Amino acid sequence: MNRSSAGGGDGFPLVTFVIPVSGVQVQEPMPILSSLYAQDSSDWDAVVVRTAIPSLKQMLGERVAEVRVEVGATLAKAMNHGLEKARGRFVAFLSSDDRLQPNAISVLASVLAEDSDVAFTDEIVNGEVFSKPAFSPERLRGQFYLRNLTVYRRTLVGELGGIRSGVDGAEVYDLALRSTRGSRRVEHAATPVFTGGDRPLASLWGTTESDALRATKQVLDEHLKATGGGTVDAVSESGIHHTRRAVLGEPLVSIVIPTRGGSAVVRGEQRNMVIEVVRSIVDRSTYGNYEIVVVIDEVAEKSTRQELARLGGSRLRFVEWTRPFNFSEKINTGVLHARGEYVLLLNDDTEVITPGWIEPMLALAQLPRAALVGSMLYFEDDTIQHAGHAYYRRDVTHIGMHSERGASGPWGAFLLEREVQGVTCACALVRKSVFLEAGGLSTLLPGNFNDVDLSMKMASLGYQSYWTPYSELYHFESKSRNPRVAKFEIDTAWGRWEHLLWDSPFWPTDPHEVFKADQEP
Amino acid sequence: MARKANGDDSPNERDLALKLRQLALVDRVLGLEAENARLKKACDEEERLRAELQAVYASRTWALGSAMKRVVHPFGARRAR
Repeated sequence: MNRSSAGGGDGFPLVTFVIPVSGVQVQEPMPILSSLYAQDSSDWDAVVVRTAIPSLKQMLGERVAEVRVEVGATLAKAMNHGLEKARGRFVAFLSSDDRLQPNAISVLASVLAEDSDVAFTDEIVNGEVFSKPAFSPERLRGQFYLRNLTVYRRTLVGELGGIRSGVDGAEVYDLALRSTRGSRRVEHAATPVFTGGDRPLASLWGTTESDALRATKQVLDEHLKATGGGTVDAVSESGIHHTRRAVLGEPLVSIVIPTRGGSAVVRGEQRNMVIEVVRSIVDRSTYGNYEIVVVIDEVAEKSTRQELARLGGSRLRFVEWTRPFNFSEKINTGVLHARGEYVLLLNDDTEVITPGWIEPMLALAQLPRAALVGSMLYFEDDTIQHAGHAYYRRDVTHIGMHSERGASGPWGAFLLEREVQGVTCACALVRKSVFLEAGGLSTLLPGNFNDVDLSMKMASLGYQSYWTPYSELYHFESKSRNPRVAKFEIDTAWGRWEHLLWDSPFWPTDPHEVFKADQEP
Repeated sequence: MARKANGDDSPNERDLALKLRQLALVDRVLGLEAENARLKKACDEEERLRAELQAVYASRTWALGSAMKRVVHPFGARRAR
């Protein structure tokens, strides 16, 4: 990777910080300027945009220029004024209350390459480190997680027409969405080098919360329209916005369920697992165009087949399985019998909760280069079983396991559709052609880690997995099979992927962390 | 192995076996590519460490330390290179 530590080139700095200050807010010294002058790199300059009539020059120092806008000018106008004066290869927009760690510019320089368009850093929020995921465009439409120490290539901002007016309070979010849509590269510096001020830029400029929320809805609406469609259901002061991708058309989804037709005790009652999951699909699904392919062992009782046939009617087909147990081969066989453009792999030890459970998964699976899409799964006791996979420090695990239902997770992550390294095939939707291109589930992994392996195979082919909280099911894990892990399965999965099971780019903190329901995002 | 229970347009037994073999073949190829990448990474790391070790052995500090050891422990300095 061609990293740039040589600054902006042509004698210009790497970054120009544009700092709008309204007349009433000036305090001396400005925290942002103190922290800029304390940088261990000199590869920066700054432009203060003021409304105050007296010059601030004597408090700015030699690296900081000033420009003035009239009292009453919008924040967008102030930011654009500053932008005109900026000389850096990159620009960032900060408030006078913000603070940078002394190595902030050096850290940014270490991740910026010649062809980088945008870069963001980890930061400290209310005394806690916000370790951010790698650039995640689907998460970004639900949360402006890049936040303020994000640098944008100045020429790119110019090409976009600068800061938009008419979106008061959402100017920077709008810039982040527009600038990353077509970006060549968005870099992440995983070091907390920024502490935001108590008051965000827009509120210092006098924008009300309700105006900011209205503008946020507008920019998200426009963003979704520009990137394949979707709806904004709600925006929130918490910064967690409820947006959904749109399902394009009504393609056939084949739900593939492998089963022995066995029973187990759930909530104190004996139940036939496959009958109950099919019942929940038929009773609750709002998506119209689906079929159910049940790959059923010959040992299954006739009465089970009869009940399944009654419940599923013409939507349900059986594929008879007469070989020894191999979950992967059963799923592959079911997929080969599926007629749908999309396949939804589903364990028989699950139960649908959300009526609209297929739609959010399908909408994400329709994104370009989408791999597997997973859902929110709960154990019988209403704790989380699965909120995506994380492959972290050579461990593979479910995110959020044993956290309480209703927990928002770290920085709201359990409430957000987002990119993940992989998902469980207990419930996963994928375009059938992508499943086949990846060779399906590996029959070398008959019982365990076949989903990790499939996720990694798809990633190696350039596909991206997603997870959605808007599709919820119970997963009475391993009620219908032996959960024991064989050594050869570990050898096979780690033999293939061990070198890539370390960084966990989309879940950079300990995935084993357990969260309570009352935790705020 | 697997046969359909109700009449439909699903693949026949022979087609199915062929397609399952094709899937398995693709899986093996992707798996071998991944394993090769893992071994290459381990190999690169081994080479990096070997070069680092050679640099230490070639350093003046190591030579001086080895010489001192021979002086102080003339019969016990066999590890020095």
